[in-house]
Amino acid sequence: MKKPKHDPKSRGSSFIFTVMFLLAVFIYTTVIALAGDLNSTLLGPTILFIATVLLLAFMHNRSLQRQLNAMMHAVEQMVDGAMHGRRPSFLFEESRLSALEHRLFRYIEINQASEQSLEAEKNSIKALLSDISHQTKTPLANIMLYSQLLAEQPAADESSRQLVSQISAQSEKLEWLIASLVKLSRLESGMITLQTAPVPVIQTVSRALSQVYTRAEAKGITIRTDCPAQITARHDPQWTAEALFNLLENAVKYTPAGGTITVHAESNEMFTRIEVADTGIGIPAAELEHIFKRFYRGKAARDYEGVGIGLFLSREIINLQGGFMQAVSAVDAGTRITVYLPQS
Amino acid sequence: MMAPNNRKAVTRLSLRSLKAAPMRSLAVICATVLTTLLITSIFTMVMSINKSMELAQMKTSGSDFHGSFKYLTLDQVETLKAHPAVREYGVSLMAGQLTNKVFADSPVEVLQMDKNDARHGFIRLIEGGLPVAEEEVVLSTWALDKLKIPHEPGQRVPLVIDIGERVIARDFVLSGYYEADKNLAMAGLALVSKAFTDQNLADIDPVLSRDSGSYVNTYHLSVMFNNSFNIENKLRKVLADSGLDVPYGVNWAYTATTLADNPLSVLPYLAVVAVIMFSGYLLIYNIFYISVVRDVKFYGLLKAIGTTPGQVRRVITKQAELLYLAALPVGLGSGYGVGRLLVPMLNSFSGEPMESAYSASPWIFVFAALFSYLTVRIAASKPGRMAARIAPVEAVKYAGVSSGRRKLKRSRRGARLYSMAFANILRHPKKLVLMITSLALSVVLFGIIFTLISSLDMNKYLNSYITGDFVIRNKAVVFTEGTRPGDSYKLSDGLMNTFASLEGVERADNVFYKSELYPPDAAVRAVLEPLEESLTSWVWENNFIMLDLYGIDPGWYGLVQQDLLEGSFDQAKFASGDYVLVSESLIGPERAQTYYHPGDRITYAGLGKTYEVMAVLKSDALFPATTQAFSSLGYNAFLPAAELTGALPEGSEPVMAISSTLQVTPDKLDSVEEALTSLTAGADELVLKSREDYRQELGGFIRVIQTLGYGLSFVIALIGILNYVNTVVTGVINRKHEFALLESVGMTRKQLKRVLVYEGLYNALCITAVTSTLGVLLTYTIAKSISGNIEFTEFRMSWLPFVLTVPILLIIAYTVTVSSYRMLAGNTLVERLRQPE
Amino acid sequence: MPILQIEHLKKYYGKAPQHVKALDGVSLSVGKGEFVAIVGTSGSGKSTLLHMLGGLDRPTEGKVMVDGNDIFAMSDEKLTIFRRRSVGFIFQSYNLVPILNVLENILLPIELDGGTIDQQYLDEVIRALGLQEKIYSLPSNLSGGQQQRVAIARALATKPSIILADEPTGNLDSRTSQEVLILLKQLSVKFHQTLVMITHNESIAQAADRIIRIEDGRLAGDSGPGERADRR
Repeated sequence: MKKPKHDPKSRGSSFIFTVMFLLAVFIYTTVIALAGDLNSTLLGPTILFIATVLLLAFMHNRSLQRQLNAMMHAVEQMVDGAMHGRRPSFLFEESRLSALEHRLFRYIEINQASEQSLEAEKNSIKALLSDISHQTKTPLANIMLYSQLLAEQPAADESSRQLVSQISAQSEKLEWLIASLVKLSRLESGMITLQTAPVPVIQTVSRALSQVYTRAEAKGITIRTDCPAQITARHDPQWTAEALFNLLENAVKYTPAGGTITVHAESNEMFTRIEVADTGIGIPAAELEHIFKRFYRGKAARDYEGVGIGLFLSREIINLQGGFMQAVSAVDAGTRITVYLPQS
Repeated sequence: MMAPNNRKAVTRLSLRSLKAAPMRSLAVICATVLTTLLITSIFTMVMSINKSMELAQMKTSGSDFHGSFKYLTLDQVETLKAHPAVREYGVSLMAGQLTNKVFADSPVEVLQMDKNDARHGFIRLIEGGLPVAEEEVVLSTWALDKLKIPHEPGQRVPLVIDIGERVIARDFVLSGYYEADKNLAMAGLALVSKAFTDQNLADIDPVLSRDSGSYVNTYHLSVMFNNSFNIENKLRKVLADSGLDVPYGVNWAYTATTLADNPLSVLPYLAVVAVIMFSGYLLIYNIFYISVVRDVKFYGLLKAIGTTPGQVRRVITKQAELLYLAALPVGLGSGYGVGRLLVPMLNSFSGEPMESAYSASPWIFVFAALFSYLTVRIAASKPGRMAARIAPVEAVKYAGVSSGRRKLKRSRRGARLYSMAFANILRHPKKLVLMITSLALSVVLFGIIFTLISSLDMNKYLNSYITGDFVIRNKAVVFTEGTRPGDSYKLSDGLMNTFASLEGVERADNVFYKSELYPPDAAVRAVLEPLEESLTSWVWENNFIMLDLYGIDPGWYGLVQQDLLEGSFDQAKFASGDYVLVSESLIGPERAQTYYHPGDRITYAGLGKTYEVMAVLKSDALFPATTQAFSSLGYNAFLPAAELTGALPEGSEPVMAISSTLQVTPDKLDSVEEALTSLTAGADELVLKSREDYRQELGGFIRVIQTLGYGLSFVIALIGILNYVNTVVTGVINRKHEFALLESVGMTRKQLKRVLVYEGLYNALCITAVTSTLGVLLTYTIAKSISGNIEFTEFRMSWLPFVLTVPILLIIAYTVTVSSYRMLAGNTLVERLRQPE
Repeated sequence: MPILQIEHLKKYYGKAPQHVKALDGVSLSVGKGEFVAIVGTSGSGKSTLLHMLGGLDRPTEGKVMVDGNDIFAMSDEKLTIFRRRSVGFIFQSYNLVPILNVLENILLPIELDGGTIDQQYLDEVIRALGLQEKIYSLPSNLSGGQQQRVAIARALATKPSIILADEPTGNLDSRTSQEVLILLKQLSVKFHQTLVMITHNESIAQAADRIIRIEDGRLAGDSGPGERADRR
């Protein structure tokens, strides 16, 4: 057990006591020596008395110290026990230690209780989210169905048709938004656990690419891939593909026709790096630090479609897997976003 | 581990409880003060008597110095007194002896003393100072009287001083005088000045005078050490350190530590202290007990809130301790005062009169405080434990829901108040018996003490000291080696005749005395030979036992009968002069046995005649007639006076007259007393005592017995009453709810009060019934057997205490019940009904 | 985890043939943080049950486990300390110590335990109960409502884990009872205390998470969950 360090104050006071005590002994001895013509019969008992007093004081000091140490030891054990959730060791004894222990356990109990109520709050939010997604699904699907039916009405004129197509476009956007939010909240509240395993990244990348390929082709954008098949990373292929898809989708969105998108993967001992670079409009330096925030949209991006949730979602997915993301960009030169995934 | 710091809460509860019940606090304080007072006064008395005895011993030994060195030269004195162990010293110089004719019987030493020695030697000058000039001298009042010189400094005193080598006869001037205490050693000291000794003794060689035995011009150094432990060793060490070898003496008054001498003599005091402690205990215990019972709900509440049993106990003991602290100074102070007042009274009862010394030893207070603390603490501990055991539900419970069955029974009888009350007191038979016993006991005790006091017979007591109206004794008649100076023949025939012929003297009865060394005869040997050697060895060595022969006049015959052991006493036959009455002889401690039996014949060589034993008497028979001294293995023989005053054989010592007892016609008492006083004034040996003197002594004795006896019965009665209060109050508290119920179903308060009063009266009746039957019987038997063992009592059964206690009991019963009823009546009915919930 | 567990609790008064069965085999479990109301006609045994829960009285038979400890297996001393630290009692008749002032009454359980006083908490409780002006008054100078609030403050002073209240609002007018009830509930939530309350007032009982009905010493109804209930 460690020797408790004296704090300067107590050291000072014990120093004063020692000095005062020695002074008293000194004065007493002098007085006796001067007053009583110090004969031998008196000297012996006096020395013996002083020696006894000194010895007793020393022993008392020692025993106090020992008591204090024992006390501290007991307190330390008690706290350790409480941390490990052991049962109280004194239980309703008439002692200060028992009272302290009772307080400690009471404190822990109250803490646990508030933790539990936090947990309960979280759960209720989860439930709310799934309720929302569940309850909006059907009406939304109906809206889309009816707008389709409306579009197929032969009697409708051109302007009505145009309005109808607007409705279905907005509905689709809403559906996607809700789906994203639900995904996000599930991820955030820990409802979904990612199934990570060390698997090759090539499949994941291909999966993401396959979803944007048609759109890129339509816009006349070249996609170059440089992904050796042997590169692996510990990740959840499905969700990581989603994240990469979001990155690729952004790249397609903000790259003008005829641009190039490069996907490049490589690995070192710690991480596997997947880079998505485009030759798009780029992001101003001042905005770069905000791009991963929820619903954030850059000034230049306002002309484009979107709700500003894609990058946020991607980063959440990567973070959950123990990886991270970096963005480098220059205006009108292009953006390069790098995903780091852990090797193991 | 590590006691919690909860003293503050407990202290606060105790303090507030005290404040909330001022009457109870006051009662406990009074009881504590009483206990402490009594204990302190007892201790003060014991210590003071001890100190008085010490003082008396020191006076006898002559000083209160620890020890002394004797027969020193001046150089030796200087060496010894410089020793560091000597804290204080006094020096005296032997200057010879007074040889004036008047001091022939009792030699008077002449000393030159320094102030210290005089002070420690109990010489307190009434007037004047120690001698300074050569012709100055200090004498005692006794010596002045002998010299017939008025007590007044400046008087001329002719003294003859034998200084060994020569005799100085010259006139001195009295520079001062002091009160002589004739019983003590300082009877004769003449103090002269240093100028005198320098002038007259300088040429005397102390070494020579020491060898000659006159010790003139030798110094006497008395010393005081730091303490009186092991004085002899200290003296020896001083001698060894100084390299001297001179005689030394230890003051034996210090070695004989009076009380420790006889630890058994402390026992009665301890017994008294124990009784006081027990009474105090009962008083305080009862008060606390009642308060706990009354506050059951309060203590239950404390426990419900979380006061542990230990803490509840401490709440109560702390209260006791606080009250004890409040009561202590008063008790100690007043106890010390009372003790001091009582010391002279007690001293006057001890054999010889002593000067009272008062002890202020801190031990008195330490022990008194300790004992009274113990009393209070023990008294509070049981109620404390009781309170600690109270269940916390008491805080919320209905109080005393006793059975409903009894209620039914009562209602069948139609709830007549007196029968209801009767049923009530029978509810707790154990408590009833306890209460009745305790009160009846105090009545019985009171009765016994009262009976004993009223049985004391003044005349019987007086007769054991004096048979007539006046007695003149010659106290010089003592058969020991003349420590009491005086003329054993002072009470001469002429003087006795003068007494007898005084006007108004009806008759005079004289007692004559003669000692006889009696060679053990067959009867004596038969008794002594089987005894232990250590007891009897001197008899065989010397071949005699010491007998005291008394010749008594017919006035004493009347006292013989009460001390008779064997045989019968025939006055006419005895007067013939052929018979003797012998007493048992004292053989060893506490044992008396007779050598002879009626019909035996004894020959007394000193009288030259043989007598037949008529009867055997107690060893202290005819005590007032004798010398009042007894020799071991010897006995007293009583003969008609004529046998001693008649012609005695050749060579036999003449008889001495011990006393003359006079019967006086009542109207002449004063004139006879005056005449006797003047007749005896000249002779120190003669002591005149009248019947009235003895009567006064006995009066004081009876007063003490009365004070003690009535005090004791008062305390016992107080305890009994408290017990009674205790029972009644707890009974009422326990039935609080029941009373409220009764009231709610239509019993008026007046009726309720009457039930309670009936209960009280029944209690009183029960006690009276017990005391008037069993109590009287007990009192009669006990008082009779006790008075049979006390000399001067004439048993007289007194009915007064039993008759007197009845109204007192009734009053107590009534007031206690009424006041306990008031306790209830404070609250409204609804409050009382719902209070316990 | 239940904080209170009662198993076959029986309490008989009097001797064998004629005994009164105040409680006749009650088993019950109360979760941590629960607010339980006990209702029943007078004489049904609900007060006896409450006294048993707090260890005020010992049962004829059965067990009361608090936080896993059988309280009647403890010595009188330990039981008292348990009560002092873990249980706050509020009685219908207030039961304040008459010789102590309001503050001293409130502090008594803490001081008996030798603990230091959490001044901040104490001030909070006193303020919440509106007793600031009265802390140096003696109980006898207070109105019924004030005395009851002092009793509540005393019960809360040691931050006990269980509060047992026997008709705490029985002697109060309806407005004051409402206030007292709200206070009790708020504070017990704040300090995560289990609250067991006897009441005959149905509207007060409705405020509880759970209502237990006692009839003739037996459990006659139990509205709520035996385990912990979420309270908001």
